[in-house]
Amino acid sequence: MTTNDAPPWPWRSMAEAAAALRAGAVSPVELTRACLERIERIDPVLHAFVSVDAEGALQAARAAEREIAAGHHRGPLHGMPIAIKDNYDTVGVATRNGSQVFADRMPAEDATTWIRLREAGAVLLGKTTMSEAAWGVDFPPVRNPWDVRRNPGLSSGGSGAAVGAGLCFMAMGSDTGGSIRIPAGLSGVVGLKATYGRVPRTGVMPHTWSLDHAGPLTRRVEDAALVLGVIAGHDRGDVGAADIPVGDYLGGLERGLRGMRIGLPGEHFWDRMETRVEAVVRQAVRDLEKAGAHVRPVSIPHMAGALGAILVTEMASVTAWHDRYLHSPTRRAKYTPEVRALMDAGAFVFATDFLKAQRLRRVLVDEVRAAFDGIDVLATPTLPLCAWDVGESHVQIAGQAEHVLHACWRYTYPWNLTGLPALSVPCGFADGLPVGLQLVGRPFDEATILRAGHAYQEATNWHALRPPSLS
Amino acid sequence: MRGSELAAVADLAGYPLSAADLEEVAAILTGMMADIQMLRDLDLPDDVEPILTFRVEPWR
Repeated sequence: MTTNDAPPWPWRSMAEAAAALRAGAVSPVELTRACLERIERIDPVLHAFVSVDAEGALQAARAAEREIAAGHHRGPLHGMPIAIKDNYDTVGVATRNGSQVFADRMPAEDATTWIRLREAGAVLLGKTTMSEAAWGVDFPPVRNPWDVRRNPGLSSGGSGAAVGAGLCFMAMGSDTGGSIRIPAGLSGVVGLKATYGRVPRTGVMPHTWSLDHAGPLTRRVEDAALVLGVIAGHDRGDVGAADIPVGDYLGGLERGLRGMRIGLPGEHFWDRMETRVEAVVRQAVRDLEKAGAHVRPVSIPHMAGALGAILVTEMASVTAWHDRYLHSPTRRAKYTPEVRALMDAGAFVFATDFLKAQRLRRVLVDEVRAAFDGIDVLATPTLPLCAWDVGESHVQIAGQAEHVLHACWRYTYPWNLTGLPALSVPCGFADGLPVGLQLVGRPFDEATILRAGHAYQEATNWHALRPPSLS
Repeated sequence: MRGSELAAVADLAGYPLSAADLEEVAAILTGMMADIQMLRDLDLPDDVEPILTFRVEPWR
């Protein structure tokens, strides 16, 4: 791990780059070239990008440069090189959803989030690699920037690896059971899943309607706050979008942790995790206390039985969306056997189980609300394990063999079932691999988890460390 | 669970799968059954209605 006082541009925060852009200390073209140079040099090893549009990015950067020089500065994202996951619609660039089934899919309209980012002046470098249809374990062949023999997390693994390797300033991901926060935790970056409905999913290919979220991966919490301010807000194209005013995510960032009330859920979280990961996250909780937070245990009794609920909800929903492709012999043949089998299995979910799952969600929402009584933020580990080897399907945790898909989302899916905002922040390393701390807030109170995460980053320097082989 | 046991259900669901596909599905369902059984065994109060359209509201 290395740090220095003035790292090259792609390693610096968006906030810092935005200030430099505004002051004319650096140009959008310089930032874009710096990212493209790193992509060209490093991505042949990482495979974080499924497509790169260097010429389009440079054109957009030149346009931003002219606008800024003419005094028309659109805001902190103006001229900022970013990346977007392969399930966000982008006119002129294929949106494949990580699947051969959609290999020739050219969207007619842009995703709402991309429209908002583009209108704010962001420069699109390319699309990031994802697991097939946001499912499956082995998505060929994205690598973790901290150890290229290991997995960067699913299904926004390309976005996590791209940000973690300093190939772009921000990458958009999507999260149905943890797929923003899991790659963030495994690749040592920040991942934000806002409240369900806070960020519109219009133009993001669906996985599970009632669980899907769109959101950013960044290196700094401040940058996630900045992006959320641009992409949040109601959109008629998404029936799940909330018509609730967008908050001020930057204004309260510096208020610190003093007096913040943090709850540690007892059931489910902290169960069955690697001891090396637990030690790191418990130290992070002590650091939050040292910075002025009050920490106390809370209870969410039914959370321990929630895995069945997300399994049946996700499996039935994915199969329902892919149904017409699964019934088309030519399309069906283009799914990999592993993903096709998962989708076939979704046809065997009984309606009674699906409805029981939706009843449990109501109970969980009520229990989580009670747990938040006198509490501002919940803190949990992001994952129970560190990045696993590419190709490995099972891991040993606490002496038990477990499928990685079972293990990796254990602490993240509860916040998809309940729709609460959740943020993963890098909080240390176990045997050289990143570990994430998850902060969960009340509905639409993204500002408080961002404030807590920012204060944690101000008190620590995990986010400033760079993968040694990529520096 | 064996794939052959699922054939009739597959037909009923509109997914007439091959024997090999049914074996794959049976393996996946077998891996999930303990968690689904735990869901089935949960004793929820009678007055808990399912959330059929998931939305999040601010807490007042």
